[in-house]
Amino acid sequence: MVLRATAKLLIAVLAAALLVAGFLCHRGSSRGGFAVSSPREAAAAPPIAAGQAPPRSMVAAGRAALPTALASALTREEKARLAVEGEAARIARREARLDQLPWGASRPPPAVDGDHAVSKSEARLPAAEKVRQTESMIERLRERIARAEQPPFQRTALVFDGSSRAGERLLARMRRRVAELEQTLAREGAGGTSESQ
Amino acid sequence: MGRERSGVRAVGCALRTAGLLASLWALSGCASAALEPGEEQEKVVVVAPEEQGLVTFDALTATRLEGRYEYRGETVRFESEAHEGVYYVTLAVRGMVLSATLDASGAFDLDGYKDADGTDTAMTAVDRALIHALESALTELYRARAAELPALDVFSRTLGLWSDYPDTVALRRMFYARLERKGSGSSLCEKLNKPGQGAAFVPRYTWASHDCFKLKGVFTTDCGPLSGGCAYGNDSSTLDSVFMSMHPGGSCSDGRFFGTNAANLRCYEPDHDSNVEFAYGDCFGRCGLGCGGSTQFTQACLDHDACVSSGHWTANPLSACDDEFAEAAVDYLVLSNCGGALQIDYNWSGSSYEGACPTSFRDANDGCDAACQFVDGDCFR
Repeated sequence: MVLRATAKLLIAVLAAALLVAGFLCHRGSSRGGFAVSSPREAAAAPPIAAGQAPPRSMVAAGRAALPTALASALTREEKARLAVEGEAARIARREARLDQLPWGASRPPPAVDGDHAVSKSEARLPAAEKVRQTESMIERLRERIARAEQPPFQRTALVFDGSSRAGERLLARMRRRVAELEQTLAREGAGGTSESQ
Repeated sequence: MGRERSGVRAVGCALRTAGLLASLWALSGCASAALEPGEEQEKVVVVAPEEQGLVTFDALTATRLEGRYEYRGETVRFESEAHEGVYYVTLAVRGMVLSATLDASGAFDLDGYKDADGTDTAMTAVDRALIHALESALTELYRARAAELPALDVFSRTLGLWSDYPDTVALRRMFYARLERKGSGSSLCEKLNKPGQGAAFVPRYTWASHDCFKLKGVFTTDCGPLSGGCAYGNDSSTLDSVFMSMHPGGSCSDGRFFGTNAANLRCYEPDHDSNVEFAYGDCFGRCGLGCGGSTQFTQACLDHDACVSSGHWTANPLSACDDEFAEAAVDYLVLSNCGGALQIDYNWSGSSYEGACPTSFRDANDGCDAACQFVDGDCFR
């Protein structure tokens, strides 16, 4: 009889302990556990090792908290409606960022030392291959110039504002480019490895 | 306020519907049939999503496209032509003309100059923003029709290149084609997370790094003086777990999410933080600024994205990421697309849920959630 009473007492204590533990888990624990109250706090929370359950995040202050149970009950339509409301904010933020840029500034001069960046793969390119590709590019540019000069394709060079000046400038730049690459070819053919502008 | 809000939503809904209809007309292909002599090319109009301007094509065929883009009071004129495996692209933007000549070998020659007098100039942040907006505007058209319109394919890729072009790299430059496919130029298509990865979605992570002059201390080998700053592979200049995908960006300046693990990602830019190893968002690793139509993902492009997202920026006067850009440049125009476009059902960027989604959104089989502090597996099943 004593044993039975003891057993009943132990079961009662165990049941009470389980009830208390369940209550505490439902409320959530402190910052060291899994509940945070805002995205900022979520970001500041100590890192969780890979594999552990992520923190239960709640909506930022200023908006009614959305319990996880309710969030999981959202229909797809309700989620879609909520997500669409973010689009206006996205557009506004994008435009605000663009507004900060100097749209009215005049065109800047060219980059100083603009050829400093050489890729590793280009540096590994054999000189003969570099010569071959440069020769091919010179040929492509000459073909492009020839196409732009022929009557049916003249509008290729005049498309921007319909004036011949724009077309003439583009052709002049391409001819200059051919000359520069020919100089590069002469250097590479003589053992040089870098292109000078 | 409620009526105003519903009125604004109605207008927005109408605009989106109009944009969808215009885009559908553009995508229908009826304006791109082969022209008979004397037949006029019909105009094709594309309304960019999220109020990012209007693209008007005066010509849109497999071998030629021509038109203009209007956004924020600016007009960008463009032209792209394919001729026997060679491509010519010309862009007039904010008083500057950009020209590209692409050889079939993968080498290409670029030029850029002031339209007013033909003298040299440099790329600016405003130019990049406008060019990127144009590339974004063409995303849906590109995905629908780039395979049949080579001129459009190369045009969009060239926009991606120019949208990422540093201020400190000369606009007049020849880029040489790679001989090898190993090393930093390698395609990372197999590491790209795409829809269709199965019910038991397992994220694919990739490693990215860069070198620079950042010094984190005197008595350290991690971005220390012996290596002249951060070396490629140093802890502070390396992200061990980049989740590559076509996720759109978040609301922060560079649009990317970073964290110390896969569940505390938030939109911000860490500065060589050795504790931050996880990253995703804004098409991290794609060759091009942020997201766009094309989907080349390579180690070189990933390294460049990691560089400009980790305490440097494209306009950094110290030009810390210029060598990464030079390495990646050829990948923008040459490599095949990986695919991997996502169907985003709920984009929380800009909302109060950004970086703070209820965890019940994750893997809920209710559609793809984007801009959360975790990656929703629903996007990739």
